[in-house]
Amino acid sequence: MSLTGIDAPAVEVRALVRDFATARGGPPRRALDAFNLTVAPGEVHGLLGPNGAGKTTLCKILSTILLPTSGTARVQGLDVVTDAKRVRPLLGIVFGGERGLYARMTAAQNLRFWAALYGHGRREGRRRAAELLERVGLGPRANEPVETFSRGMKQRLHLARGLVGDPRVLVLDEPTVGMDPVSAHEFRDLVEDLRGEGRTVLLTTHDMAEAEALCDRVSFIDGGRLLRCEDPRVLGELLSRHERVRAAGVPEALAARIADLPGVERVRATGPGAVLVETDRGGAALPVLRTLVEAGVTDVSTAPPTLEEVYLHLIGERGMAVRP
Amino acid sequence: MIAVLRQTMWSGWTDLRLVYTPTTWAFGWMVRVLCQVVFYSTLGTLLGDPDRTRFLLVGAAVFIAANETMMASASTTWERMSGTLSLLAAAPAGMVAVLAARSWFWIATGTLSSSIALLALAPFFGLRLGFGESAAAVALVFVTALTNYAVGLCCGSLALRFHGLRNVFANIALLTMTAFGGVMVPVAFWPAGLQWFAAAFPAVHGLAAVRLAIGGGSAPAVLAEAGFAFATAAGWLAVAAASLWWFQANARRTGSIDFGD
Repeated sequence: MSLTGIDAPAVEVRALVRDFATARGGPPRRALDAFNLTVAPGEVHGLLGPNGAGKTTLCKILSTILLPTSGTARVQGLDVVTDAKRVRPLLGIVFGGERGLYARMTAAQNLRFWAALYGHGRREGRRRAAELLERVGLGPRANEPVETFSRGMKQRLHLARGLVGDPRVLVLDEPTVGMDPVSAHEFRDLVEDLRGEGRTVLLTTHDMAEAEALCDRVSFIDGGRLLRCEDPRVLGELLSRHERVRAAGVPEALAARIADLPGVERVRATGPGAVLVETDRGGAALPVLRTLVEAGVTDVSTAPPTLEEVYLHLIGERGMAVRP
Repeated sequence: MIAVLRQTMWSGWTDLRLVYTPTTWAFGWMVRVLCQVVFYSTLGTLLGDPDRTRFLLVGAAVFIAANETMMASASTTWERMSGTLSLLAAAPAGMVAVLAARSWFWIATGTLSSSIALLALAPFFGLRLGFGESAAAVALVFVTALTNYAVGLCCGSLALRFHGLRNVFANIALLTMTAFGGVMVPVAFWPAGLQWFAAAFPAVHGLAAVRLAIGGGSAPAVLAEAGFAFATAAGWLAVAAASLWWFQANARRTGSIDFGD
């Protein structure tokens, strides 16, 4: 018997496997490998992983457009395979990029179209379209063709489209990819609002800062497996612990002195006189910066570690290489 | 479902505006259509045979309706190009109704251009049509376009699944109809087997109905041909629906629909 009550997890995935056939009859490629995940109602859950990790495959299975090879996936207690028709109205899907909208139609027409597909009549569709366009800040542009929109505007319209069915679970597959920082920031504010409404959000991203800022929990995926499920503060600690300092015009003797500072993991030469200082302790970047500035080096900047570096620290395995 | 169809038809209308502007339709497409019909009709004139001239004129003009509605094969696949296919697959209403209705505009444009070609060129090639005959011809051209849309949709459903062959299905169907469907050569010219084969296409019956209506055929005979057009169209529509359902089911199994498709 399926659970559809509010006590059921918003998303529950058990031993999920998905194999894809490969060309010329080669062995199947395993995109998800005995994957487990539980997302509570109202949670904003981040799926973080490199390309080919299995994030989008999981989203496609939850969205009912892909069948798992084995295992189970449930949304609000409903099985995505056997109860797909009942799962679909519960889900909103938003993916990144420019596609997925009818470019010649206006923003309002796009939303009215999708409102009809989610079972809303003409009047309700118009009402929801107007309400959502106002909400995502596109009200003044409601009657303009989507083809005239910027990328950030299209992405906001994507989010409005994802909300047109009033879903309890929203799947956001790398929604800010390719967006400029201002648009991405605005988009994150909208996702914050969804949390306030008690909607469940499953967010896949490459962007650790985004995951840290938005998510209640973050799952690290690699090779189709769940590696760790953490509080995003762990991510924050990793980001600050492994902060990096770039500097130019650094003499060799100064570089050697910096390498001996506490918390400095490594000093790498990246060019003539240019170095990249990697730290492995929170607050270690400060003495590095002080030493550089006191020595007269002014071409200095700090940067968070890349996803690859966090993965290397977390897992110590293959980093960003895409699996064959 | 009515709301879905209404919104889908509006989406189709915006697609039509992508294909034609009023100027390109009038001075591009219609000029091409008229030239094509004049070309075939002139062949009859050169042969000095008025009956053959009228046969070629009506065949060439009415088949414009079939030609345009076969464009539904290509436009059915436009969902994949706009990246909305995965969203349709995940929507509660599903993709079949949307894909079935999205290309309706070819029925309208096919009826319009075919009717204009027939009625405008008929006097120049010795075909005098009264008001009643003209009205009947336009109505039956509409039947031809409407019923042949099912064939275009069926080809489109196959084109979605076998994207690399997307233009092949419609071209094979159109060439078959043109060759054996009584457009330039009477159906009766062909062996019985080919005649039966041609009878599977609704446009062949639609064309036959037009020929009967403007050639003094009896009303029951005209209605019978129109009925055959609808009956065969129902068969094609059933195949198209099954094919679209199979496409979606197969895509779920194989993963052939991606986000962004």
